Amino acid sequence: MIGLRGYTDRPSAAPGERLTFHVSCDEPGDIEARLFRVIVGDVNPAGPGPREEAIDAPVNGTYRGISQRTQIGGYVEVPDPDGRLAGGDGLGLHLFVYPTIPAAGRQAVISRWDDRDAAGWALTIEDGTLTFAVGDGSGAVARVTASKRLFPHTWYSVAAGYDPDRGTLTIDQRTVVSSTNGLAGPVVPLAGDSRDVTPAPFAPAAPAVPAVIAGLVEEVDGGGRAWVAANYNGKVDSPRLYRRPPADGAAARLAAGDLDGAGRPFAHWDFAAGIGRDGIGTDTVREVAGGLHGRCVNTPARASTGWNWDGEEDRFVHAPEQYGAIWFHDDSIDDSRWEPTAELTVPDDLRSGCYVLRVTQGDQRDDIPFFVVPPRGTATAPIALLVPTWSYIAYANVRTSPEADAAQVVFAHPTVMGPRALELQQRGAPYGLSVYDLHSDGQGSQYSTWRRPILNLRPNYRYVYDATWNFQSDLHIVGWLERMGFDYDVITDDELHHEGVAALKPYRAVITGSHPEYYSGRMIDAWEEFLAGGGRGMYLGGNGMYWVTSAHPEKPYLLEVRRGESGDQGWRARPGELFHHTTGERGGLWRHRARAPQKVWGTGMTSHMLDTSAPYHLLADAHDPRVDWIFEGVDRGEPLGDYGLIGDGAAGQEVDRYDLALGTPPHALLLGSSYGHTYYDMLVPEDQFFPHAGMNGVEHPLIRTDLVYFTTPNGGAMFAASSMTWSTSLPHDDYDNGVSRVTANVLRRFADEEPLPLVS
Amino acid sequence: MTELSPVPGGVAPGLTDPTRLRDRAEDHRAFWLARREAELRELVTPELIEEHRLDPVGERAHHSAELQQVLNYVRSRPMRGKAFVYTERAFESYRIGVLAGRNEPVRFDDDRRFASQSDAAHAIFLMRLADLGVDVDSLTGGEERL
Repeated sequence: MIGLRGYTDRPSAAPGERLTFHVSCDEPGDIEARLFRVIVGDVNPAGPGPREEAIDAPVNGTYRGISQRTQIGGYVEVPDPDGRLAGGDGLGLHLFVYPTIPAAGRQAVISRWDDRDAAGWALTIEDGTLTFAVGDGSGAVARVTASKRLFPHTWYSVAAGYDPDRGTLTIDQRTVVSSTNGLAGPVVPLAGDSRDVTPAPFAPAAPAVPAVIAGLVEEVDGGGRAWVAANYNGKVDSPRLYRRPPADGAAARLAAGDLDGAGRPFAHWDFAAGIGRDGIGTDTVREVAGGLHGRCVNTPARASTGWNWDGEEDRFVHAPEQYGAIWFHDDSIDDSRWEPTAELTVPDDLRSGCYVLRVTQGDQRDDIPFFVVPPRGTATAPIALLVPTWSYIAYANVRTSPEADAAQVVFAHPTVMGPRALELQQRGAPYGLSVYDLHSDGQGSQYSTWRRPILNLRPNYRYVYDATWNFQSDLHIVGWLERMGFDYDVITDDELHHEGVAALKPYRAVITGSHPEYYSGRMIDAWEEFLAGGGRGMYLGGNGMYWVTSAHPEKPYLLEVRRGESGDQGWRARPGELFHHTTGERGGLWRHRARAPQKVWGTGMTSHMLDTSAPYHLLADAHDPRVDWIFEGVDRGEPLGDYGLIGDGAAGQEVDRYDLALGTPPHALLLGSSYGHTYYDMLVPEDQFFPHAGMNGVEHPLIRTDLVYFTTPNGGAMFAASSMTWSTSLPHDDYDNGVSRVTANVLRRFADEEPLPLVS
Repeated sequence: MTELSPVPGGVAPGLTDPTRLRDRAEDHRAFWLARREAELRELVTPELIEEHRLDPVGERAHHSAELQQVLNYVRSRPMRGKAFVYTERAFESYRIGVLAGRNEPVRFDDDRRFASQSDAAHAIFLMRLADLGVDVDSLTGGEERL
């Protein structure tokens, strides 16, 4: 069992900057912390074996470990210290509700309720049915339950409340079905409407809790923090509060779309208020009647299609009035919000690199990774390794392998799990989801955060089919750089996104990691500027620059991804959901926004191949004397890279191809291509126009891995290996092999001041 | 209690309760599985089992068309109740577990230990063939214990 785990507040820090470590242990007690620089993590006995250096640092020491609680589930919290929403003098509410899994236990849609002593009021779904309850705080609860069960993925206009004059509770639900707003259209003979009234012998109490949309307060702890339970799954649109429950006629007008039909509300949370050209990248939820604003917790999906979405406009910034919904999930998380356990101010003399804080307690151990970058605005070497931290966040705690029925066919392996993967699968709720996973209700997970223990981001983690993936493969590049004696800095995707080209400019050569898949527009801009300005790049990965990715403006540690209409995807954005709420931009593949990776790095995604890898075969351009320097020490008549720690080849896992039609620079040289892929390797969906037989690695010529070289303006150049397993072939035969030689030849030349001459 | 949407005279009432409806695709699944599994059982021979034992992932040669079909099927079965390889110690000791759902405990009913991931993968393959209704013992001469 895993009993100890932690995370840092952000992926990278420079000398002088402070980083905090947040640790939770199942058994409270002392924990030891020691800092290590990590060089190789992979435990594969066929490779070089793990390598690390113990670092003497002020963070080393003994700390008090506690068990830290994690709030999961997305909701909106509305502080109400003055009890304005308490409803003791009467309360009416109206909102549109779109439940996705109404049968899944108790779910609170909107509440001002303290569950410890059943005080306040709450609109919940119980046994698939809407219920409005009031509690007087002494244990007495009155409730009214709708006489019809809710249909999933269907909008309801819901009116409810407490009427002290009549001493009654009301719940009124009416389906609001259009051709486009839900799963059922007008042809379905739905008879889901009901209006139910019961006596209420008392008024709701006014507990000292916030109002909550999509949950209810389970308890308020000693520190005044409200913990929320009964999290709701589904959408809510336009919640309004009145002094009395809407009468039958008013409820009918509201359901018909006349939103003034019940008079003026005293509170109205307009989820679309604040949508601007750049989306709605804020946690603030505006209350437009009385100013009782709320805050999103755990980043529910804002700017979701509303009750009135007509399918004509799918860019929500153009039709905010149809995107007034928030989609909530009971398993979302954007920040574990644990108390800090330890902190490190990065010492001035700590070299840039990959680090872990190793925390131990008895036989429990966790290696908490982070990256030290050089002092801001400077370089300490001519070479930078650009660590793809956004890929790490996107894949954080991914559950695909044990959860997706198709996973073993995708991986062409059985599911393989070690202790950490088992922990994720069995006790995964507080660990959250990756952008590959599905929420409880089946919607794709659109957000992923750094601020939680990322169990698959550990130097010795073995990925879902007993391979290295991302970080562990990237450490093979680190091991190679060290072994070959190159001076290098480490920078990360966070520097690239936040600093732009300034992060790359101090370097002559920048090396990618093995899988730089998740890119923002600013990151692509930075690469283009760098390469056009004479910079040199080495793309030592596969499936790069693939998905449009954005960082939350208020929470830079949180990424948003919308799987578009095509691509190698674990889920697909539903109609009207393709645009990022945090930035307003179109999600999906960069290729579909005229920024195919071929235009920058020369190659772009063509296939995943997780069963076996293959070598490259050098083509005519490799024999061009102008690139002799690349192949010094390599026999160009032999396959290149028919070895390696993953699948026994340098071309594997996820691979990219040269394609002029997608924007590979017209003067690029195609040095080589892989051959020998299998029937299990398929062409990516975006290249399958008419799907047809033979779209596999044996029969289809587009399934290959291309080795590409081209020069850029001002003496710059780009070399693309285009494969995730290039990195895991570097250590073969004690780093003495063709892949290693080619990489070193290119890097040595790229790190040289002398401009690269135009090759066309 | 008042009920809205009164049923017009003489017309059957509309849908009032989703729990009374079911997914008829389940009927097709049962229909399809029966036929497909019968076809796949015919493909399983001692040679196919041996082909998998020697090279469960297809690293040495392309899998035969028959083995591909059988693997594509067993690999794509629903995850709940599906066997997986558990790495007790990487490159040293593997065993077989059975998956449940998210946030639910997995089961370890099988106490065998395997020295390699491939050996465990082959043991799982044999279990899956048995689930498919193949008499593995008779095909392997009883040499492979399920």
